[in-house]
Amino acid sequence: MLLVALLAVVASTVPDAAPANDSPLPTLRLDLLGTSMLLMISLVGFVVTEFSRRYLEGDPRHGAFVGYLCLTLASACTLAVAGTLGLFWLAWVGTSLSLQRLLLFYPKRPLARRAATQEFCIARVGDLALLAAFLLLARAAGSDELETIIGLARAGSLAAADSGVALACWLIVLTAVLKSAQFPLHGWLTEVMETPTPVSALLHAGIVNGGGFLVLRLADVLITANGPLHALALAGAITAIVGSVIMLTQSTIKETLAWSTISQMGFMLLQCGLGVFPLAWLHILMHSLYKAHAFLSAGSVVELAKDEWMPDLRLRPRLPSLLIDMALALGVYLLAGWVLGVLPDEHAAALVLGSSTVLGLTLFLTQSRQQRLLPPLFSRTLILVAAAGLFCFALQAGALWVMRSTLPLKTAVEPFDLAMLAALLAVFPVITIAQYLLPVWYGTPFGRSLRVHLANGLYMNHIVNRLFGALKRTPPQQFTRESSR
Amino acid sequence: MNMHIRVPRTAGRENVVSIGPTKSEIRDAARRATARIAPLWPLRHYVAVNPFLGLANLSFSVAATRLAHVSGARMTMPRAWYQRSLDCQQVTDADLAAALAEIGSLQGAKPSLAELKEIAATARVDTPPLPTVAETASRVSGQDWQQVAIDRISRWAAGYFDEGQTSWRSPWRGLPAYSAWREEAKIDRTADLLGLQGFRAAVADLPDEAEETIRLSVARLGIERPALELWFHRQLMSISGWAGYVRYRLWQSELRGLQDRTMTELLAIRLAWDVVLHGLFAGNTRFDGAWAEARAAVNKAARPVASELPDVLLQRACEQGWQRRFLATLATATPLASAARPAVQAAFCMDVRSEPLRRALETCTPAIRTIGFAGFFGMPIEYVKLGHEHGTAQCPVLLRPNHIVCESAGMEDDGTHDQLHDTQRSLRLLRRGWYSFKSAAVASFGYVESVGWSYAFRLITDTLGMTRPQMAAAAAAAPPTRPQIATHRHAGRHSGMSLAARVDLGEDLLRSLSMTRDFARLFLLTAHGSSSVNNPYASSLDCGACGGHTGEANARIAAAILNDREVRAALADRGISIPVSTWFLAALHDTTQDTVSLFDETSVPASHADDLQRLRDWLQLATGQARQERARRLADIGLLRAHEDLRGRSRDWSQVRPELGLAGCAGFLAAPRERTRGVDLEGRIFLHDYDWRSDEGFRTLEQIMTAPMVVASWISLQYFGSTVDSEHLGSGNKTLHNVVGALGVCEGNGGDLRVGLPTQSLFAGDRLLHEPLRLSVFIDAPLYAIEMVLNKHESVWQLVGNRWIHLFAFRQEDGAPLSYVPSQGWQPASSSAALSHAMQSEGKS
Repeated sequence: MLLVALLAVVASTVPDAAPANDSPLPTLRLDLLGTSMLLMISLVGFVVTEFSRRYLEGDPRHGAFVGYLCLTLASACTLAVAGTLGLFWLAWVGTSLSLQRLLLFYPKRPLARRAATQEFCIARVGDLALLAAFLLLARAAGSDELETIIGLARAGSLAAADSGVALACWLIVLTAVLKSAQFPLHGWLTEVMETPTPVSALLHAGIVNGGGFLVLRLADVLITANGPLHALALAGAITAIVGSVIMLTQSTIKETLAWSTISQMGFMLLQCGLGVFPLAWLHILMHSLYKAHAFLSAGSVVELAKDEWMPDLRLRPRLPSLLIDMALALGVYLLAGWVLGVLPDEHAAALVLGSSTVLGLTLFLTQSRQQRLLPPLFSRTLILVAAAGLFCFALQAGALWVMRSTLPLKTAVEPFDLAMLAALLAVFPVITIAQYLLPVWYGTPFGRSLRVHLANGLYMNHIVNRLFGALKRTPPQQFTRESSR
Repeated sequence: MNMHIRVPRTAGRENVVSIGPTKSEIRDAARRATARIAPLWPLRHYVAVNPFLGLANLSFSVAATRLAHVSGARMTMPRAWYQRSLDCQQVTDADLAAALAEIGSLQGAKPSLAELKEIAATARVDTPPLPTVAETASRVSGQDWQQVAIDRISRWAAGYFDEGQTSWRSPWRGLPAYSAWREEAKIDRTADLLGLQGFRAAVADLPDEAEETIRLSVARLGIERPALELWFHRQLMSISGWAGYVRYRLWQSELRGLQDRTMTELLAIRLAWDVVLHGLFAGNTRFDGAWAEARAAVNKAARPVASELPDVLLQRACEQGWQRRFLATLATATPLASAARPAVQAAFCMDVRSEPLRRALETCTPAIRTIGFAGFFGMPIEYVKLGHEHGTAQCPVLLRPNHIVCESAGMEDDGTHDQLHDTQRSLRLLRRGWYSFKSAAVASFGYVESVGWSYAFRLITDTLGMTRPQMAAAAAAAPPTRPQIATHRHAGRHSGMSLAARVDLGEDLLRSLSMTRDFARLFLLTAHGSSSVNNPYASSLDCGACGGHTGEANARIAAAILNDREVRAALADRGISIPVSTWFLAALHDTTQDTVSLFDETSVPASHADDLQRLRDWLQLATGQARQERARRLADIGLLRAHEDLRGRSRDWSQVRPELGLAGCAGFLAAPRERTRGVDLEGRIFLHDYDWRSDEGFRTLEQIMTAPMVVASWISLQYFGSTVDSEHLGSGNKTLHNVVGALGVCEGNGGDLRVGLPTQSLFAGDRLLHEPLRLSVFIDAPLYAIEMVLNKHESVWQLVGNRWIHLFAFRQEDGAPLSYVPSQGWQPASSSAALSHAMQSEGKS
């Protein structure tokens, strides 16, 4: 695996142009997008495999576990560098099927079976949609080489050639939404805790990104189609917001992390939908690293509790000062954007999405200020906040620059996008503040009901499970010890 | 959805006082049932608990029947395991005969030796637990309503009892549990969506009071008076994890003399599910028939059957075999000849993990005398870490801490302490703030984009064991810290101890150690703790006597008290004169890596520098030897690089078995060290030093039998339970663990909170790491003294009389071991006599 990674580093220094291929082997596409994904999968794969080495020690099927793990990783690596639609599809299905084996690593657990069934059904629908989309694309371009298809799309001659391309775009968006666990078909992601922790880490840090990667891979094609992109943005925005609010109500660490993934994927697809593909690429990479670590270290949450790190709810910041701080920070942020001539411009979306960072840092700062920190520590806090903020924007600028020839950037700001951005600009602060307000609303029946509905994930999972008829009574032998193995 | 209500609106208000059990009978039964539940400590200070705590007043075999009824849990191993023990002669015919000889002939049909062997070769038939309404409904409808009820109650409980996971906590945390559950259940659409139309309306119709709901359920479901306790017990055991957690809260309240009705409320919640399901399914003829049958089974099961299960006999025979081998080993002890003043006296925790290190130290030099004692060294304190306002109880969970001691740094008045305290506090607040940035709703997107990259490094350094996934909060405190014993005020409470309190604690400690004279120049007080990362069960590996924490603070406080000149002067007045040349030194034994670190070395007087250096050398030798011994038990530790490998293991975030903990524990011995010196006890014995000749009025014996022995029995039964039935009494597979509310774990995606120990602590694949044996207690004291304690303390008598532990003593004349058999009194502890008796009676010679 490390060898592959090394190869990828070498390959990534070569400008992204795969020479015309006469050999019968499918081409690989080693552009910055593919190789960066390959590197990321290799790193996460290395960590997860190394982790499983001792984590599953003593399990009679330890060997089988590592086998399926490597198979999944190999498929994911192939997916990252696939250069033809055919290879892409095969790697896509291969990843999903080998992952399925890992999700059912303890096949006697009824809940594992239920989750795997749901995942299986949704994944197969996705596979079929993707197959149809690829067939349409290949027909329109007359080739299944990604190089050709992307070249045609960039020249603007792909959509003109065939009306099927628009349909293909819709199907691609559908596949991405299914793969990246978007609301309301997210349920399987919250249910697959019935498998060892490293699988969750791999799933949440790697496999679930498949939807985003697909969109990025074909970004040049998608950018020609407005409808599907808008749908993607809408699905992403709803998922990002609903998911992140539901996350606040979860009481187990793994479910909290799962809802976090769902909302982060939503945010990433929202970035795609708004046409800032390079930022979505950045988000995928950053989120994968973060989430792999978060899952593998999920057992450490008890240490947090021991050291009293858990946020103390009595210490919530006073609302007026929070409001003022946020308004000020956002104002300064947007003003700077306007003065620098970014607003309203092609980077408007990037700027608006960046407000989430500003809000978070303000939240942190307000809280620190409230708690009468020692002056040297408070200045440390300020430096930390400034550094984090700067780093975030430096990374975004870097991503936009690095990816300038690999990924497209939507330049035309349409009414839909404007409306979307305006809505986000309103909703983000409201939610951030609501996070502190909801307990105040507990005085009203509405607030209390909302809490209950959110804690249950708005019941989507039960509805979907019922559709799949998965609530079969399990035979009594499930209670024997063997079932947990 | 409200169209499908099948429960009459007036249901909850109906008069339930007609016939059947009275109000007080129901309340009594509920109270007795809740007392049957063993408490479950939260993970941040997880301690071993006897899972059969509430059943202690029943004999082991009756409790086995009872537990099978109420939860389906089993209290003996699968027969194949016994068969294997017989096959490889671990258990001999003599052991079987001895087990048979112990039970009287009164207790019904007693199998013969041959029959017993035959039984071991056949498979056991397990009886399912008594049916609940939910289970009956499951059987009739083909949908697992029992699991749904457990899941829903567990989810509610996770939100209600949450200790820090959720940002938006339950709105009803201020209400009593039953009301909080009812409010939530009236809104929650889940049950309706799963197919229970009318669930919410039915919940709304339930009575407002928990006790009324319990009474309603009794009337509605037709449970008869004698079956009430069993029925309630059954219901609580279906959510045994959460019931255990609530029992823990009750335990804490009781220690403080407070009331807590949450157990009753939880019972009402579980019964409410059955009442509602009964209402929704009644009328369905298949259900009505099935439930009538189930109810009859419940009411019939109320008459307890005292069946002497053959499985319990096989289990007893295994223990007999172990005791036989152990007593043979014990006879090889080599008492020390010289009575010269030792160079070092070293007290260790009685924990079984101390034994290999003590043995290694004694092998290094005859100049060290080791002593076993409860690892909190008699210091029942709440220890407040630097930068914190409240502390943790550093004493056995049977006690309530009666002193507060704060961690401090620097000298008393140079300002270092205050500055460090503020820094620590601020750092913690800062981290909390950062944590809320990371976990906030929208801000988390920005968090990922601004600091996500840093996790690339952390993934690698954590994998290589260079960093911990969560950095310890105390890491920033550079100067060494120490407990501050002088009295002062901290966060509005009195902290520290007065001189009188110090003198009392010091005297109690020395007297319990049987140490009133002949002090060595150095006296080592060795506490212990474990070191593991990313391990939710980390505190289960720490010192149980220190309430699931490391015992560092206790040892340091004890040493500081005993080095105090004023205390020594006062002690001299009470007849304990500690020579000026004696210095007490605190140490910590890291049980994961087998290293010992000494504390406060800088305050050791210059006169003791040579002694200290010599001690360091001995400790280095001894820990090396202990690590070698450990390496032989752990497959992946190299003999030649045991130190490095063990250190790596303790820092490995993917390690599910950082150490083997107390696995293997089998015996408890209260006797002078001379009885065991030189014997390889394989780290399986709790060793508590005790010399009855210096025990006035047997007060120390009473204390040992009511506290350390009871704690040892808890630990042993915890390991026993989790091994014999890891599904019901253990916490299942660690790789699937999901931490709930920062307080416990569930396995996978939901279900009940899990109790006991993870499978990985007890099994390596199919290999047992712990041999499930009930604790064998050996006490070196006159029989009348032991009997006196048994007579005085009902709870200790129950442990012995109901065979939760085996009690042995030594005949004073010749030191021959005697075994206490409840119905027969003291018997010679030897299997051969019983065998020849059995052979004769069966006519084979």
